[in-house]
Amino acid sequence: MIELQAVTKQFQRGSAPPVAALRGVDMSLARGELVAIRGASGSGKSTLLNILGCLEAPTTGSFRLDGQDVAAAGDRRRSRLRARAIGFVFQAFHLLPRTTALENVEMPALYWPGARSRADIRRRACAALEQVGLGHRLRHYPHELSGGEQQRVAVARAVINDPALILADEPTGNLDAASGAEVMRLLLALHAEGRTVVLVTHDEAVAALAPRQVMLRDGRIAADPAGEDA
Amino acid sequence: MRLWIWLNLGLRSLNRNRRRSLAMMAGIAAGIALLTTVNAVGAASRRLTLAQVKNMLGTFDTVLVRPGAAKTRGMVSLANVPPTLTFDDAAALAQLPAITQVAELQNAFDIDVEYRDRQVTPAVFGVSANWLDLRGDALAGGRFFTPAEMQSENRVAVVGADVVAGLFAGTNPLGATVRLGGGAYQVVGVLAPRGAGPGGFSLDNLILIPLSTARHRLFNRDFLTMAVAQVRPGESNPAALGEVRQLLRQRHHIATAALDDFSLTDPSAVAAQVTAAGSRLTVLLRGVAYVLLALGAVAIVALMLLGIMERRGEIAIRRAAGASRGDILAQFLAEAAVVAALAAALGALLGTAGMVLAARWLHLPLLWDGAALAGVSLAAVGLGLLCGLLPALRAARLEPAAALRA
Repeated sequence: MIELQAVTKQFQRGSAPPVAALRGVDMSLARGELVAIRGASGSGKSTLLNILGCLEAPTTGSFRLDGQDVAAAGDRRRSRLRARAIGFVFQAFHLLPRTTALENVEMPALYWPGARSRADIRRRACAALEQVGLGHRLRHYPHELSGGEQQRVAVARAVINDPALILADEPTGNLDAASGAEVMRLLLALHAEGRTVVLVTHDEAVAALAPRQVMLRDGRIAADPAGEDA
Repeated sequence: MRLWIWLNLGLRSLNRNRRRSLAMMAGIAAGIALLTTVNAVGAASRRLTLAQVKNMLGTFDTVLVRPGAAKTRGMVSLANVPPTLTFDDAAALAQLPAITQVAELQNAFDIDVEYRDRQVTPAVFGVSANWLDLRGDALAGGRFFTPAEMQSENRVAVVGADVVAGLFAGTNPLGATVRLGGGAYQVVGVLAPRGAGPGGFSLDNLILIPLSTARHRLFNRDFLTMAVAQVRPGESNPAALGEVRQLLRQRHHIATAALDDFSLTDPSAVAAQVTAAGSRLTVLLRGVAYVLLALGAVAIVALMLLGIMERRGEIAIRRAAGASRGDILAQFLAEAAVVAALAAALGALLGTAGMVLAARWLHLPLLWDGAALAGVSLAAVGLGLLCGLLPALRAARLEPAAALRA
């Protein structure tokens, strides 16, 4: 499903020499796989996630998603791809403030490339919130929800457009153990539905839930059992 | 359909930060309110002045000729004009190629008119047969003087509305006999009211009698206080004015370098003069309104930029959820348009209220110019879009990755 070949990413800040975040990453993910990407901070794991999520384009190298070459795609095409195929979960939840849980979950539907009725969007959002156990919190605002509940709203938001790929960046980083376990249970359930799930984490216990763990160090893959097999 | 989604999104976003939204709207709303009020008051007072000038001067396709090089405008009467404008002058003017006909006037303001035990002192006008025609006057009742009455210097009169009110108080004036300068005059007609002239004085306080009667049986004077020369259709007023001047200077034997011994007035020039510019206050207030609009525009730019800095997280998560740069641009442009449209609506509402109050205080007719208001409101929405462009572009250019990691 995902093919990265010799991907590098450099950041240019002002007139300073460019900083290399990724120095040549080869990786492939099969549809329905659950992968944890581990590494110290600064190892390039967030950059890798942003490239996988079509938020940033690689500086060099090729990136194919579902057979499409994304490395050279423009903003419009990458945005449509994100809307249709990718759901994000972030460490900081990033719910819209002063907006109900239901409206937060409905938000990505606005960017769905096809046509959907208001009623259909509402039905999907309610179903998604019920799936994460928040059917009773539809009209609550983010500040009225606990951290764990906010992250569950974020998970519901990630699946409203029914994406094949879920990218989770430190999803349990801001949560207590119990809430973190609940969120991980939801992510594993999404994997069980057949979605590809990529987890970025430095928490070994969380990473241990994934059958395949990719280690990043200094912008390169230091260990990848599947990659070694391939 | 898509547009409606963006506008709805903008409206909800503004609703989430109401105080800031109001601050964004204040300048535009105040500017439009002031502009609406000032424009309405200006238009109403212009229309009122024009109507008053038209009331006084009658029709516009005429040249008014008065004896004396009058530097000051004012009411002329037999008592205060030199005897230089003759009946022969008027007859000669009527022969000019640019002139179709000339109406003649002898008048006084100091003659009492009595009916039974009542007495008024209206303007007494001795007029030629074509007077009503050239002054654009109409009769409310009765008839004008017949040629026979004009010919034989009969004592008949046509009265203005104020005279009717002052002398007859509810009874029918037609056929009544009034006393005027020692003679008995029969009322044969009533003039339709003309209303007020410039400054608001009444133009209906007058009584008309035949010119021949006035000349030989009342005033015993052989000169005119005014002649009204009608300009031939197709001729320009200034050209006709030139012909009149040339003829009168020649007839009065005025040397080349000497000044006229008469004065000419072009009513359309007077009307244009009084309706041209508004008062200095109007100009000042309009300037203030434009300053308010400019401040409002700056406020929209500044507060939107601030809002975008605060909403980097929202912009980033929308991008992650599939929004393209174009989607973000559209979202913030729509927000700016909604702000400006709401501000315009608020301003139009306040402006209409201001207009009603101003009309009441200044005793002006109420002129609600919907088209002008719509135009101003549309311009405000355009201004809002323009103001929103820079912040919206900045929002669209934000890199989502950095904001999402925080």
